[in-house]
Amino acid sequence: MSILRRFKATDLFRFNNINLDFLTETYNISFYLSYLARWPDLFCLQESPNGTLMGYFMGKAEGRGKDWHGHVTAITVAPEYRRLGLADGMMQLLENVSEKTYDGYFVDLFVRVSNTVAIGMYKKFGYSVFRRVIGYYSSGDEEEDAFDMHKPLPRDVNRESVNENGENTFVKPEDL
Amino acid sequence: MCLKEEFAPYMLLPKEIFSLLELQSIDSQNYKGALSQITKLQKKQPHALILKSLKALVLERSGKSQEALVLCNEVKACKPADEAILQALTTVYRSLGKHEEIVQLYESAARSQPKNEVLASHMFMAMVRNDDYKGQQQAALKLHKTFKTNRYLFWAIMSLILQAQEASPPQSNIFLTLAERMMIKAVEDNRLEETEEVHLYLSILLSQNKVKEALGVIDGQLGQRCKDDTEITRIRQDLLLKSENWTLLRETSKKELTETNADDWKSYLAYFEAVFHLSNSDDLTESLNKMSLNDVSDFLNSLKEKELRSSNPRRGPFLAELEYNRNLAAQRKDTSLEASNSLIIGYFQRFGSKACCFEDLLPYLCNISGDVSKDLVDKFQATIEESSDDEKSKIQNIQKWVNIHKLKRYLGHITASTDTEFIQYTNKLWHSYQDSLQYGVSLVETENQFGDDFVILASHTLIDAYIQKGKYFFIIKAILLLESAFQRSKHNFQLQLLLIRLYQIIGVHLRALEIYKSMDIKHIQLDTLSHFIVTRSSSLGFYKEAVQLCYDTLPIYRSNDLETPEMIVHAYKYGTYTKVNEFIEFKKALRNSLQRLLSNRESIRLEIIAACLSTKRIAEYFDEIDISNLLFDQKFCETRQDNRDFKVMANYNPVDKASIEELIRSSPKLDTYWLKVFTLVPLILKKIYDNQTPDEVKDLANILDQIITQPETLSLTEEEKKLGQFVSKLGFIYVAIKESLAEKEGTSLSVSTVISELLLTLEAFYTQVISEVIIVEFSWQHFNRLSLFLEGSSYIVIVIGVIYKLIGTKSKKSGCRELHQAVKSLVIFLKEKLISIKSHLNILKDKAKPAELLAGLLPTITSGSSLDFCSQEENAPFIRQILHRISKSWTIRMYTFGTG
Repeated sequence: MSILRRFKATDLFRFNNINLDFLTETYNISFYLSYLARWPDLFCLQESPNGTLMGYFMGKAEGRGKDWHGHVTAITVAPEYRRLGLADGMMQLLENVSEKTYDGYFVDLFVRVSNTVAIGMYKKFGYSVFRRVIGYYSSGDEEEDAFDMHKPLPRDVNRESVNENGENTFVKPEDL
Repeated sequence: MCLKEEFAPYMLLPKEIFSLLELQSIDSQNYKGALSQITKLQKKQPHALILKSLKALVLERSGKSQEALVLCNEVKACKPADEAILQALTTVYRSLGKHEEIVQLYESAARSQPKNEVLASHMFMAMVRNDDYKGQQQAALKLHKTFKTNRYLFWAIMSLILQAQEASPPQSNIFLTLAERMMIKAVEDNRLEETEEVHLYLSILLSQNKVKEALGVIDGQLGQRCKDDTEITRIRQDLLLKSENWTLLRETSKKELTETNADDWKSYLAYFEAVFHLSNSDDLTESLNKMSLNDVSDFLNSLKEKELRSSNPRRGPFLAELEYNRNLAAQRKDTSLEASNSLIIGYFQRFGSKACCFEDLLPYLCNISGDVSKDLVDKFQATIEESSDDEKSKIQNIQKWVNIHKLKRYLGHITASTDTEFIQYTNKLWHSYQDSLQYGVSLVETENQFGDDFVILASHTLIDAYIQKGKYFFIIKAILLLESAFQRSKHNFQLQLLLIRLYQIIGVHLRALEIYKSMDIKHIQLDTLSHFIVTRSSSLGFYKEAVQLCYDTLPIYRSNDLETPEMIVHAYKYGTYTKVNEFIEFKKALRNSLQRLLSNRESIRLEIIAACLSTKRIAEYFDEIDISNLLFDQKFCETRQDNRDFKVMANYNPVDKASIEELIRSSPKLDTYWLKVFTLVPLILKKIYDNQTPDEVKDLANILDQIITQPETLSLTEEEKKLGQFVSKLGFIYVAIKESLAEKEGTSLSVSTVISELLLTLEAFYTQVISEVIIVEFSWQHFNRLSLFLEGSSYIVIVIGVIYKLIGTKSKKSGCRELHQAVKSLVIFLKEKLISIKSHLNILKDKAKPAELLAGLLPTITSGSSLDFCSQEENAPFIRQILHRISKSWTIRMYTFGTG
C-alpha cells in the first residue's frame, strides 16, 4: 500500500532511509535536478501511508529513430519495504509513460551480470537480454559486464528491440 | 570533463588564439602558461576585450578572484555584446556569486542588439539566476513580443506566479488575475501544447482556490490531452474531494483502484470519504446514490480476490479493509470489536512476514486498551506456524517474531524494571538473533542478516535500562551486541547509526568517526546527516579531524549556489514549470540551512582553540576572520531551515514516549539559541581583539548574558552556559579597563569586581572538572566539561593578550598598577588551574590504560546478572578487543587535552 507520485526536489532531504542502503548510490544535486527538469514524469516515488519514502525510480527518454526508448537509470526500494511488489508498480508506471507520453519503441536498463536476483525480477517483468556490455561497471581494478535488457513496447510491432541471442552478443561500452 | 565546459568561451575564439590556448592550458590546466600566452597576445592587441575577459577567467580559476573581478568590471564597462566575451565574464561572475553583474551585462548587450534572440534569452536567464521575478517577467514579455514564440509567454506567466508568491494580498491577487487572464487568452489562441503548460494553468487556478474552474480545465479539451499524466489524475481526485462531488469521487477512485493500481492508498482514502458522505446524506436525490455499506465490502473483497490470485499478493485491499473498519467504528456504524480484531489478526497472519507489517498495523493498534492489545499480540503469535521445516518459512517466521517484538515494545508490553528483567529480555532477543544466523550463511556481504532487528531491539532494551537505572555498563553491553552483529552485516546502517551515538555517549570518538566515515555520507546527505558527527565535535577533543569534518560539509552549499540556479534555468528551457517552484524552494532550503551555520560555528570554535597554541596564530586568525556573516538577529534565526534528518533512525517506542534517537543524544539538540551563543562568542572576541569601543562590546556581552540566563535555552549544556558567562564577563572586563583607562566619568564597572566575578565562575567550573571523574566511567559529559573549560581558558588567554597591550601603552598613568595587579591575579589563577588539570589528566590517562580499564570494567560486564553474550567464553577475545579500542580512544583524548 503506497502513494505513487512524482519525485519532488525537496524529497532529497528525506530519502536517507532509501539511500543509506549500501547498493543505492547518492549523486550530486545536478544529477537529480537535471532529470527532474527534463523528465519530471519519469522520476517518481512510493510513499507509505505514514509519509515515509519507500522507494523511487528515475528514468529518461533517449535515442534516435527506432532506437527512441525509455531508459531506467535507477530503481531502488528501502530495505524494510522490499518484497511488497513496489518495484513492479514503479516499472509499470515507467513503461506506461514511455509508451503513452514519449511514444517509445522499448524500455531498457543495465544490470550487473552477477546480480541474478535483479535479472530474475526483470525477466519476470518481461525484459530480456539484448546484449552484454563488456566492462561496463568499473571501480578501481575491478570490472564487471552489464546486461543491457530490453522490453519492447507496442510501437515496436516487429519486436526489433528484442535479441534472442542477447547473452552472447558482446559490445564494448564505447560502441553503445 | 568539467574543464571543457568551464572553458567553453574558448571555443568561440578566433582559431589562432584558440589553438594556442588549447595546447597551453586547457589540457594541462596550466594557468600560468595560459596567462603568459594572453600577455603575449595583449602586446599586439592591448585593448582586445576578449583577451581581458579570458585573463579574468584564468585568474579566477587560479584563485585570484579580486584581480579577476577588477578586470571583468573593466570589460563590462565597455558594454560588450560579443558572445565569447559575455560567456567568459558570465563564468567568472557566476562563480563569484555576482548575479547582479550578469544581469547588467546582458541588459546592455541586449539593448545594443534588440533583434538578437540569444542575447535576449540570456538576459532572461540571468534574471532567473538572480531571483529577479519582476525583471524576468519583463524580459519574457519582451522576448514574446519580439520573437513570438509561445514558450516566452509561459515564461512570463510563470514569472507572474512567482511574484504573486512573494507578495501578500491584495497585490498577490493582482498578479494571479493577470496570469489567469494571459492564460485564458493563450488557450483561446491555441497556444497550449504540453502537459506542463496545463499544470501551469492549474497552478494559477489552484492558488486562487478556483476549484470549479480547475475541474473544468481537466475535464475539458485540455485535460483530454494529458489524460495519461498520473499527476493530473491525482489533482482531479483532490478537486473532487474539495468540491464535495461525492458521487463522482466515489466512481473515479473505484475506477482507479480497479483499473490502474489496487495498491493506491490515496484512492482508498478518497473512496471511503465519498462513501461515508453519501451514506450520511439526507438529501433525497443523493440517497439514490447511497450505497449500502455491504457494497463496499463486496468491492474490497473483489480486489482482495484478485490479489490472492497473484503469487505475491499486494497489501492494498487488505490494509484498506482495516482502514474502512476503523472508519466504521469511528462513525459507530455496525462493527464489532471482535470483527475488527479478527481482521487485524488476519492481516498479521498474511503479511506478518513483511518488515513493514509493524508500521502497517500501528494506526489500528494505538487506540486500544493494554489488555486487548496484549490479547491481540498473543493471537498474532498463535498464527505463527513453527512446525514447517522448509527454510523459506523459517525465514518468514524470523520476520514475524521481529514484528511481534516491535509491536510489544510499541504497545508498552515490555515492563522490565529490574536489572535482571532487562537482561533476561535482552538475552531472549539475542538468542533469537543467534538462531536466525543459520539461515543467513549464504547471504552476500552487501546483505543484512535476517535477524538484525533482534539486536537492534536488544540494544533498545539496554538503552531503556541505561535511562531508567543510570547504569553506565548497559551502554557498553549494547555496544558489544551491536558490534557483534555489525561484523556479520557490514552495511546495516541502523547498526552503524546506533553505534555512532552510543560511542559518543561514552566519549569514544575514534570508533564513532571510523563508522561514520565508512558510511560514505556525501552530497545532499552532508546537510541532512552530518549532524551525527559534527554536532559539538569540539567536545570530544579530536580537533584536527573535527575541523576537517566541518569543512567537508561545505561543498554541498557551494554546489547549491552554483548548480541549482542552472537547474532552474533548465526547467524554463525544457518548459517544466512544475519544477521551477520546487527548485527555488530546494535552493532556499539549502541556502538557509541551519546545519550549515551549526557546522560553521563549530569550525570557528575549533579554529580558535587551535590558534591558541601561539600568539602568532591568534593574531593571524583574528586578523583574517570575516565577521560580516556572523549574524544572530531574531529574523535571521527564524528564517533558518532545519534539514537535519533525525527520523532515519529506527524507532519502535510508544508514540507518547521519547524516541530512541532522542534518548541517545549525548547532549541536547542544537537550535538557534545555541547558534546565537556561538555566534556571539567569536563576535565579542573579535571586537575585543580589534580594540573596538566599549559600548559595542558591552551591548554584545549583555545580549549573550541574557541568552544564557533565559530558562528556555534547553539546547545549551550547563558547561556551554558557563562558557557563555566567561565570554560575557571577559567582555565586561574589557569594557571596564577601557573605561578606566579613558578615565571616563561615572563608569559603571570596576575592573577588580568583574575580574573577581570571573575568578569565582572559573573556580566553580574548575572544581566540577576536577572532582567528578574517579571511576572508570568516562563519558561524553566528562570530556565536554574538560573541553569547555579549556576552551574558556583559551578565550581568557586571548583577551589577556589584548589587555596587556592596552595597559602597556598607557602604563605611565596612575591606577595602572592596580589594573596590572588585577589582571595578574587572573593570569596566576588560570596558570595554577591549568597545571593542576594537566596532572589530573595524567592520572586519568593511567586509569584509561587497557590493563586498568579491563580490570575495572570486565568484571561488571561479565559477572552477576550478565548478558549471556558476555559470559560465553568464545566471546571473551572479542569483548577484550572492543574494550581495548575504547581504552585507546580515551587515552588519546587525555593526551590531546593534556597538551592542548
